[in-house]
Formats: sequence, structure tokens, C-alpha cells
Amino acid sequence: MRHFLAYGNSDQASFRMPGVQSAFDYLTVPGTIASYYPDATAAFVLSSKLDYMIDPRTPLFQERIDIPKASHYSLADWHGPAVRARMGSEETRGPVSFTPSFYTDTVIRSMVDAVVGRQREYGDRASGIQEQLDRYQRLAEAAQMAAPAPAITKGKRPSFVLLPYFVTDGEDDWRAVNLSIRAYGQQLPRPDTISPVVAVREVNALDRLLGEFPAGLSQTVFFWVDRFDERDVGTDSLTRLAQIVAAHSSRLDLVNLYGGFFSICLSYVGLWGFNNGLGYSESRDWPDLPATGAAPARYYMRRLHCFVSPGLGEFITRAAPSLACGCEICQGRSVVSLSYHELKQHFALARKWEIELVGARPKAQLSAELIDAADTYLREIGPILPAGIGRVNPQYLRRWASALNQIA
Amino acid sequence: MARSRKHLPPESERELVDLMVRHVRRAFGRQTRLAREVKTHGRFRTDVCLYADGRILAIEAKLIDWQRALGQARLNTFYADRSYIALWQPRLTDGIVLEANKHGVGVIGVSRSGIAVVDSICASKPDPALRTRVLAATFA
Repeated sequence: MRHFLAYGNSDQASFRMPGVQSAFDYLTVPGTIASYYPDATAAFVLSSKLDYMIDPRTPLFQERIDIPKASHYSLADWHGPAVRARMGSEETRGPVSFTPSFYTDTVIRSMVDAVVGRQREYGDRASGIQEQLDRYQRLAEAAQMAAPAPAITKGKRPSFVLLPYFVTDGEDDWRAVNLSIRAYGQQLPRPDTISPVVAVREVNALDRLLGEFPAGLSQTVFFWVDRFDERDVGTDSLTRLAQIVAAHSSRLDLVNLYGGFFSICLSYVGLWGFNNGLGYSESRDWPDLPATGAAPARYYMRRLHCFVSPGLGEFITRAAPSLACGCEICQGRSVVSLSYHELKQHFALARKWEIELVGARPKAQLSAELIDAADTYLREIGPILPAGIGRVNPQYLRRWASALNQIA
Repeated sequence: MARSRKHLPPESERELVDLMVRHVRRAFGRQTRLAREVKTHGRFRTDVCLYADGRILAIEAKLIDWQRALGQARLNTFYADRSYIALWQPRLTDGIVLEANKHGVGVIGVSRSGIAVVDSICASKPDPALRTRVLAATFA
């Protein structure tokens, strides 16, 4: 199972830590950040020497944008002149609408050329930002206590190049736009290095859409099921997703763009990779809800596979030591004493632990362990938690166990 | 006949806190230092923190939802030497005091003429590192 870890602007210090770097395979750079902080992000990414990919986040240019943010304009630049022109003046920031009819063949060609080109040339950015690159390289070496290395003059290219994509229900006009994007992508040089992205409103649509790729594109395919929060959805949806992954994983390397522990469990049916943020973004709603600032400080309870406030994490680990974490960050420390970056490092290590756990456990045993964790919480924490503290409802652990038991 | 003003409950939580703050030094000592809206762990902020006789006292005040105050006060025991909920005195019941005590939380009854403090018989077990951090950030 390959772990893609998305980078947020407040995560730089965490991503330099050796513990965090050991916990994932690919760094995911949101297109919004790559375009809005172009030099700093390129310097950070290229100095890290990590394998990475850039998510173009094209659905930000789908349907109506009532109040465009500054990052819409910079990301629009990455999507080519037609999309940028449609956004209008950044000074006035008026509402703007992107309908399927806007994406004519001409616009699609210009958008695909721009998005693919930006990614393919990202490594070349090193030559224009040498000063920042040197500074970020020194910061990385200091964080890892590494000896100074020769200056980086040539950046690594992304491991995957993603096509632009739109969210579709499989029946609407956005499906046709996606098909045109892929058809044009197929005509570009080295199409086998270009990955399609399938973003669907509902899990059942995924099955059909995964079957309609043109030949020639990369077999690594990224997907996103809108609002698919693994802890909220029912057993039927979890099982359906597992069936779809099982049905397509023999010919495609599937990567879930927004997933958590249940996605790790989908390695049992052949899921190739999954992506999430450092303590956030295990699911995503479209359209985006307006949100700004860094992710909140949260503690990841690794046996419960969920986030809680540090206060609740402290309460749980004091009352039920079997639910405590033994990672190098948590050992001998209380949850409430962990700093913001330590909470993030702990999350990365917990995720690594989860991947190793699933890799080492037969499905039936893992399923039993999920139920045991739910029982432990209900037995040891439920009765003593004061009413005024937000609590965990561990029923999702039972749903995951049930879905695991149903998949072949 | 109109009720005397001294029996009128505060109109807001802020007024409840103001009333309590007016009287804390009488209850906890003249040298008591005081801070409001103290950032502690995660996104939590404690309504009022006192530093008296080398001890950190954390107080969560609520006009209505005493259970919510108790939940927050319980989490304050992770850094404070004593944790309290502060409620409007006429709304205090033996049941609330017992429930708070069960969680290691004391109760402060607030009225317009003063405050009444009931300590929990269970002492807090603050985390030393967090306690030191809050102390340094708030009262250094």
C-alpha cells in the first residue's frame, strides 16, 4: 500500500522530520498551494528530494464561484489562458460560473496542455529559485541533522502527472468533459505517464467510470468519491467501494485521493495507494466549504483510528491504557503535552503503524481487533466520560469490520 | 412586587464571570493572580485561571449548561492543581456538587454578594509538562 501524504502550508516543519518522512511514499502538493506560493512551495518540494505529485484541483473551476479567493486566480493561471480569462479581474473578484459548455474542445486542449505542462516542468523550476532552494535545503539538513550536501541545481520531476478533472455523477455533462480531457491527454507525448482522475458524486458511479478510459494513458488512476467519510458512511457503501476496487485493481493501480484507515484495509482487495493530509483530509466535500488557516490540533487515537481533541485523547489514554499509543513521540509523554508539530508527527507514525498492521494481519483477525477496540472504548470510557465532553461513537469500527467480513 | 436586584441572575456568562472575579481574592487570598481565556491544550481555553499559593486553579463558568462546564473542567484537571465549575448560586444543587466531585472538580457558587467554594475531595493529577507550560505562558 502506497501512502500519499498531502502537504499544507503550515506543515513544512513537520514534513522535514525524519519520522514523518519515513511514514509516506509520495508527497502530494495541492495545486492551490503550488500556484499561490510558487517559489516557496517549489523550493520546499524540490529541496526535500521526496517523490511527489501535484493535484491540479480542477473542480475549483466547476459551477459557480460566488466569492473567488486569491488562490482561485493563481490556480487559474495553471489551468491555461481560457480559464484565467473566465475568472476576470482579481481586483474586482466578481462571481464567476464554469458550466460544461464553457469547456469546449479548444478550452480543454489549452487547459490540458497547461496543467500537464506545469507538472512536467515542475522539476525545472529549480533553476529560477536557487536562493530559496539553498535556504530550504539548509533547513531540511538542520532538521535531519544531516551534513551539508551539494546545492540542488536540478529538481526531481513529479512521480505522477495528473490530468485535469471534474466531479460528475456519471450521467451529467461533466462526464463528457472528462472524456474529452482524457481523449486529448491520450494524444499528448508519452501518454502512458499521464494519470486520469475520476471524481464522482456517489460511489456506484465509480464502477462504470473506471471502465471508460482510453487506451494509452497511465494505468495509475486516482479517484475521489465526494463526501465519502469512511467513519460516516454505511456498511453498504463501504462494501460497494471494496467491490469496485476489487473489480478494477487487476488492470489499474488505483489511488484513493481522500481516504483513511478503511482505505488501508482496501489493500486486501488490491487498492494500490491512498492519500490524506497530515492530520486532515481523509474525505473531501465538493464544492469546497470555505475554510482558512491551519488544520486544528487533534490527536489521532491509533487503535480507534479516529481524531479526538488532545484533552479527550488524554482522558482516554489515562483511563484505558490499552488504547494508548507507543510511538516514539508518545512514549513517556502525555497527550496534552504534545505540541502542534508533535501531534502531526504522531499522526504520521500512527498511519505508518496502521499500514504495517494491515499488512501483517489476516483480514479476519483485523476485523476482530476493530470490534475489540470499539468494545474497549464503550466498556472503559463510555461510562466514565462526563456528559459535557464530545465523545467518540465507535460504531464505525463495527461497520468497517462488517464490510471487511463481506469482501472476498 | 419586584424582586430585589441581588437575586436577579446575571444576564450573560460574562456578567457571571465578572461577578466571580470581583470576589475571588476574598476566597483565595489577596495575592491571587488572575488570567482570563487561558489557552491550555488543543483549542481549549479556560474561562479564568488563578495562581494562588503556588497552585493553578482553573474555573469554567456557565450560566445554564453546567454539564458542558463540567466536561471542560474535567479536562482542566490535566494541567490545573484544582479545577472548578462556577455556577449561579441559586441554580446549584447537591446533585451537581456530587457529580462534579465524582470527576475531581470543585464547585463555586456565585452570587452578587460573594462566592462560595466547595473543593472536590479528589485532587487533580496535572501533567507536569503541561502545567509548567501553562504556568510559564500565563503567570510568568
